[in-house]
Amino acid sequence: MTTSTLTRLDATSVEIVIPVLPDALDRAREVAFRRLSKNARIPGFRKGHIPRRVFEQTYGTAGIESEAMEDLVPELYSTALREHELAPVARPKLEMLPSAENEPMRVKARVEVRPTLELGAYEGLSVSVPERTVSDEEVERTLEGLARDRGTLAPVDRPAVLGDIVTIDFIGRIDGTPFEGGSAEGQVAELLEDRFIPGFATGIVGMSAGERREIETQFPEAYHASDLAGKSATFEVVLHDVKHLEMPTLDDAFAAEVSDFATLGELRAEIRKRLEGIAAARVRREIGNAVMEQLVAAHDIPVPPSLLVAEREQLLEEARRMAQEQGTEFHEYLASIGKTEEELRDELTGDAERRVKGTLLVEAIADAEGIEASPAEIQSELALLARRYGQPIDRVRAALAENMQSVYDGIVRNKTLEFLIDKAHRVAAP
Amino acid sequence: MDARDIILSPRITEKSMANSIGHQYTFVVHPSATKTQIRHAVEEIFSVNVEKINTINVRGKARSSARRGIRTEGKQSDFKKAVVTLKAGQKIELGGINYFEQ
Repeated sequence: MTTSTLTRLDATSVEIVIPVLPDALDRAREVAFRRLSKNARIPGFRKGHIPRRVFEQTYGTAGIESEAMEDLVPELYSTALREHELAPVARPKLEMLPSAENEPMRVKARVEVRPTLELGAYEGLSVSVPERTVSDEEVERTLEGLARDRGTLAPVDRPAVLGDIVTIDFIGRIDGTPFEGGSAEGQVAELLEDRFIPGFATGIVGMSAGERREIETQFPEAYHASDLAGKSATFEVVLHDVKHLEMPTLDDAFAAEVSDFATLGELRAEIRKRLEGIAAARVRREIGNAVMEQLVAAHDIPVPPSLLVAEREQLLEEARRMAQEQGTEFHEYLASIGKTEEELRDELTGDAERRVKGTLLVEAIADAEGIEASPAEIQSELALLARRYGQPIDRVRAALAENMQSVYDGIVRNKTLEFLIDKAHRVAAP
Repeated sequence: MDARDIILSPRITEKSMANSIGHQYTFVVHPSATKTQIRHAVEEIFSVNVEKINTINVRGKARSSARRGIRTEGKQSDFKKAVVTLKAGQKIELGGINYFEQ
């Protein structure tokens, strides 16, 4: 059998020339003709009962030919991939080569492939990551948060201070004219300086229920609504009432109410345990990042352009989604960071490159270490996805049918990363 | 009558193609053509020897259509069909292409 010839163009792309064997071509033509003739109408024949000669006489051979090639080329291409053990990362560019008389036809495929990496040392890397300890303060803060959730609002008869809950009406004016979104009635708000534009909360401090006051404020330069940024505004505020958040006393009774623990000491210990768990996970993540950073820097990894582009577009898409979740339009977001879409894209190229390199490296290491995902792991990953989307597991499986490979790859990548973290040698950073 | 006014066209259908395996070729011929006329015409045009000829007068099928409640009755044209059996081993080629062989 004639085999295809492989030419490496550069580290990430190859060219394969695949001969089309006459036998295979004839078979493909026959199959193509059968399929086409099913729907062809020629007077005197039932559908699908047209002899090939009559069909070709009526419709010509071009249709059969192109249909046959469409079937045959992908098949030849995937056979050639197996033959050369290539891992393509993008769709191939396929092209028919002109062929001489009596020579078999040839197909040229140009495709980007995963680069072969020369793996350097990846075990026992020294990374310096700062220690994360949980302070008593953090525990107390968490406890306080729990207490706030259980707090009750009690009206107080005194001028407002920071931290009070107030009910206010306000009308905002710039140069004497009210502006969009600058007014509200019966707004309940916690009086904290950083909840409002500068000067607003402090301006209310000292007011008593029923009082009216004019407050001078200035919008910050970096305000998200660009037509307001930097402007001075006057707010006419009416304070209706002042409430104070009464917090429950932190004692064993409180612990029993908010948790399954009988004493405050036990609750504290549990909170500490959880915070420590979060801190440990964070340290692990930091070790992982540091290891990947070192590995990427230590390896020469050719990046296939198509992967780079795909990754970059994905990052851009994420930025777009994040802007939308925060309720701003993407072009507003671009304006707020002072960049055009093109500039942002350029900027993301570096990130994308690092990420692609990281992925390629992790995959190469997974290969070298023979790290695989077991059916049980896939099952539990699917269960996780099912819970997250609130769908039955079979539905998730069906929806993913085409992308099962990516689930598998994701598990392998995570396991490899865990493996690298376990093998890394940690040096405590100052 | 000229040979080409007698033989009007080859009749290429599933049935006629099935016959051609046994050296039978089917043509649409002039409605008043006789077997003898057809024999001479085929021999002249295709330079073959005709063994036997069967002729059939085909009645056109009745067709009717209805559009906005108005029925239109019609009928496909009648024609005469001749099945020509050639001497064993002989073939007919039409414009370089033998329609009758699969």
